[in-house]
Amino acid sequence: MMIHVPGILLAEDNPNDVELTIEALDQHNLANRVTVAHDGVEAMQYLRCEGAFKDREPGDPAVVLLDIKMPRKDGLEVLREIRSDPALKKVPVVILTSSREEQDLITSYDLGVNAYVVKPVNFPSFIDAVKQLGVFWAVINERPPNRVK
Amino acid sequence: MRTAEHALADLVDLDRLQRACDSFAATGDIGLFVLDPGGTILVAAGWQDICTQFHRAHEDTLKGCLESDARINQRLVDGLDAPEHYAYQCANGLWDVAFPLIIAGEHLGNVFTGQFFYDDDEIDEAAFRQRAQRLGFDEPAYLEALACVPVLSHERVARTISFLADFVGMLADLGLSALRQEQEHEALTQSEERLKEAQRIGRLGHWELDLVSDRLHWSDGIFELFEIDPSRFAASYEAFLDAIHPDDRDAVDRAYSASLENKQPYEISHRLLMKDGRVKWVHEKCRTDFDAHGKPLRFVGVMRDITERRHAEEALAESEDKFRYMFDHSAVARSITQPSGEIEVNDAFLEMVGYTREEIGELATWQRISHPDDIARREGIVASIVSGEPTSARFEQRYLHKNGTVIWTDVAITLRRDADGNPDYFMTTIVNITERKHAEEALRESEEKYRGLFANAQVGMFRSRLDGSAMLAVNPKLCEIFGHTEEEMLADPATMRWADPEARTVMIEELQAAGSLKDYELGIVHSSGEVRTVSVSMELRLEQGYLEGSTADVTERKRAEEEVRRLNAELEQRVLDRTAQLDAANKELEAFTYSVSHDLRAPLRHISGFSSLLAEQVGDSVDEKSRHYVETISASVRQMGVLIDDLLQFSRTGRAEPRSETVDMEQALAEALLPLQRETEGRAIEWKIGRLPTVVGDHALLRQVWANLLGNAVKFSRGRAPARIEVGAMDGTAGAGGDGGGPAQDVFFVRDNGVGFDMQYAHKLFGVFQRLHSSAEFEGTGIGLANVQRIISRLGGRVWAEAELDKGAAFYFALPRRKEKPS
Repeated sequence: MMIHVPGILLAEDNPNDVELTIEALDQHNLANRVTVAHDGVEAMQYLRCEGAFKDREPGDPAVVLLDIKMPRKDGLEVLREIRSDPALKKVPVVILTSSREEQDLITSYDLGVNAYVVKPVNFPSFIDAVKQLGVFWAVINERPPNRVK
Repeated sequence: MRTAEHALADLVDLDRLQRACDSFAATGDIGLFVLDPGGTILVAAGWQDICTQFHRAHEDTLKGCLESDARINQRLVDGLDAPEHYAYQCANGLWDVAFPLIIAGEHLGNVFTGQFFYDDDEIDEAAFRQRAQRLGFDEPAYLEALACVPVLSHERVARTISFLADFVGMLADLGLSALRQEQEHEALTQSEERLKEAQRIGRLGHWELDLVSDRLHWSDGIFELFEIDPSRFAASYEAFLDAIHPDDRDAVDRAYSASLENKQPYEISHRLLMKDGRVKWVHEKCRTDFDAHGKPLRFVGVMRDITERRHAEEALAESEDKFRYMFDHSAVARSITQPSGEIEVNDAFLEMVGYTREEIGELATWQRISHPDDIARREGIVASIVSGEPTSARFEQRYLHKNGTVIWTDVAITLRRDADGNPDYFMTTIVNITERKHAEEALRESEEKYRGLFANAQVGMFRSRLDGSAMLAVNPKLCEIFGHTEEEMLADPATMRWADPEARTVMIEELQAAGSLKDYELGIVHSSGEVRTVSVSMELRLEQGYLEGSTADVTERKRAEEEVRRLNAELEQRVLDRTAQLDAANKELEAFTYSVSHDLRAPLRHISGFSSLLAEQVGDSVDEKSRHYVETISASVRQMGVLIDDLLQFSRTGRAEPRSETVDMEQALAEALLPLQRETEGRAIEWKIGRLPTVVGDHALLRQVWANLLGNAVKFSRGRAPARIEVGAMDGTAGAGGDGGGPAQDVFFVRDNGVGFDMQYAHKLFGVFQRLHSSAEFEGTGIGLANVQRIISRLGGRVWAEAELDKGAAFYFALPRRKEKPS
């Protein structure tokens, strides 16, 4: 068994957002730990080490940064699946979205999200927000005990 | 000398006088004659042959005789005032002497003597002889007659005449006095009879008590009054006392005693009690005569039966009493009206007009309480009655009640005249017929209305025999429905054709069974042949013996109903379709909003992010202009981000159903103030926040309203030091905002001393994207106030503003007071 360095799963379909998010995390040296899933399906495959991620290093990410609006399977569906999967339900999930829709907010919290962050339009604010998220969840936060494989 | 009332012949027995004169003439050879004043010979004695056989027998000598007669007569008549004897020698040579016979001043006749010669006469025998020859008398006979004529002395003649006059005068006097006695007796008897008659007629009697001799005399009238037979009973004081009614005896006695003392005559009325119990009323007038020493001599009196008058008076009094009672207590209003118009009225009258007796007295005349339009007519009627034709009248007249209402009356008026035929007063009977009038009026109106209704009704109306066999009355609309004239409809029941005669028979049967039918639909055939649908309502009027009903042509309505049904069905389908479309549209809109919220912001963020990255990448080497471009891009991105956020907010407000909950406005205000803290840091703002009531509404939306209004106040007062912002509430029920009264509501306001705005643009304030200031002056999207208005109107309130350029602005919103909706 080797020591696992927990990463950040970024579920985001928009390449611009991916780039900007990674740019922001990079400013705090967290970019190398980011894995990008381009939709909800990929995100679940990553979490369950399936499909393209069948051979990845085992272990849950320190946090899942989850966009809501994604092709195939959206963020809320992903969240629901995580929370209803006994193996995944303790994984911290942060919704990182453009939506200020109250309904999204309520649904997210109902499903047990750990945080809900609206992406600021203004880039410096965005940088700031993503940086704080990354530092908090990947560095400061004490993760739940890892599951035994 | 007055004209003789008596004739000598009536006073003296002429036969006896003739015999006495004959005797006298024989003794004294002297002729005697008594004549009445007219010359008629009453008595004649001692005629001389010379006169009778010759002178009065020949026409020549007769002239002399008559001449003498006439002269003597004339002389007597002329000399009556101083009677004396008169002598005259006639043309034939003889003397005549006469003396007037005057008895009790009356010239009753004349006494004559004559046919003689005085002893101093010279008798010319030759002349007589010649006369005999000339006139053809038998001369010897004539002369013999002449020789027979007495020759008398003057003295003898005078004495004879005097004697005769006295003698005859005495006889006449005797006769006259006898006659007069007889006449007087007769007159007395007549007078007594008349008195008796008068007393009997007047039921009058008199009595006389000689107090000296104590003799009592009753006239027949007294006997009659006392009903005592005078032939059986004499007058007595006991009988008198006995006849007086026992209850009146003292009074009669007292009156008599008093008159003896005061010596005055007296009168008294009292009763007599008859044996059989009848009562008579009598009136006595009594007097006592006294001698010089005051000693009573005679007590006299007159008694009159006044029973009838008494009864008449009593009857009159009773009649007047009855009349008065009837007048006063009559249930019908009555009045007695003077010709001047003054009235006396009874209680029923007062009740009718609502005045008190005193008030009527002040009003005084009937005109004052009569309807002005009726006065002239009544005055005309009264005038014609006064002029005599007719004597009474009956008419309708309106009186005015004290409360101003009109009283209709039936007036009967009769004129009472006094004995001289002059108008005395009017007797008026007034019957209040107001209710009858109103009933008549109501009936008339009702009948008129019915007639109008019948003629003009837009529904067919009819009256027919109970079995429906024939029409009795039809209105124009019914004729129109069937397409026939009224005459045709009434004349022949067959003009009305039924689409299904059987259905009509069934209808009549149902009507007979139920008594009435309502909205019975039936097909009829119009005269044009077109089948139409009518709705019939009918009712049997058994007492009146007919059935009455109405018929409406509902053909069009039925068609319309069918059409409505079809349209409704169509509409329902359409609604379903539209609803589906709307649902779809809503979903689209939601999806759109969502994508605006999500997708539209993403590119913005990218523009912002990459332009920042670009600026970092090129670092300090970039020129000032390029840096400005990048900054402008960033600012635009920010502005667009705010715009999108506001639009989303506005869109959400429109879509979501607002909640109905109790909202603590102070709490909502506090929540809205919180985010402003950062913006107001370092600014001098004087806040003045009043007490706010709770309202029923949507907490989140109201917080949004406060946030927008406060945000505006903070923003537009930016240049003021200090800025003053006032928040408060007031009772808007009385109509704050100048709408003059309305439902219960609370009015809230936010007032600032900022830049304000020109009120002429006030109408643009609440429009989406409408701005009154440039973005360079004050940033903004033009959505905030539009959102405020949308929220307030969705909560049932309204919003308005008052402002003045550079002086500040005040924004008000009113919310109705209402109960929280049960959720």
